[in-house]
Amino acid sequence: MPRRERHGKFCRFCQDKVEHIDYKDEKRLLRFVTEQGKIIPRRVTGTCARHQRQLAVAVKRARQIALLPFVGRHHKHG
Amino acid sequence: MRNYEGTFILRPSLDEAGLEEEMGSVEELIKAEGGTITEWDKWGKRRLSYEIKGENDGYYAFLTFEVDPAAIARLVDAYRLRENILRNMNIVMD
Repeated sequence: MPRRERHGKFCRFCQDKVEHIDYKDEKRLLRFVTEQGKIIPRRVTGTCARHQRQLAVAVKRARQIALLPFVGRHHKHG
Repeated sequence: MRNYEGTFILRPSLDEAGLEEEMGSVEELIKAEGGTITEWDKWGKRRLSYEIKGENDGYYAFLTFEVDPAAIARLVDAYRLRENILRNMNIVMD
């Protein structure tokens, strides 16, 4: 699995001054989940606590409407 | 009354008229509950991350509306009966 953001950890959402993380912004959310579709811990991504909480909710909503997978991108068949 | 954002994933095989009919029925149901429709945000056809009701694609449409919180459960029940609504999710807007 590729390591993300090892150098200089900082919250991407704070950097972009995001107030509310949008569950419809699948492109952005995709960077915070693994190949299997799991949410990446903030110790790895550097996301701040506040945004990590929002992120978790956003990812779970995105999964409900099939914008993100529950079990990863390579599980289409079986 | 509360503001909501609803996601509707419709069957991709529907034609223009079919899509309009489904969305019209959603509007009518909300109005029947005394709610008001703000606007539709139609994304169009998209690949689904996983199969829903035998479909691999879906027509995405988001609706912002205002309705009494008690009406949501009744609306969801009504959406479930519609076979062309593959998925629905309602989120309270802050």
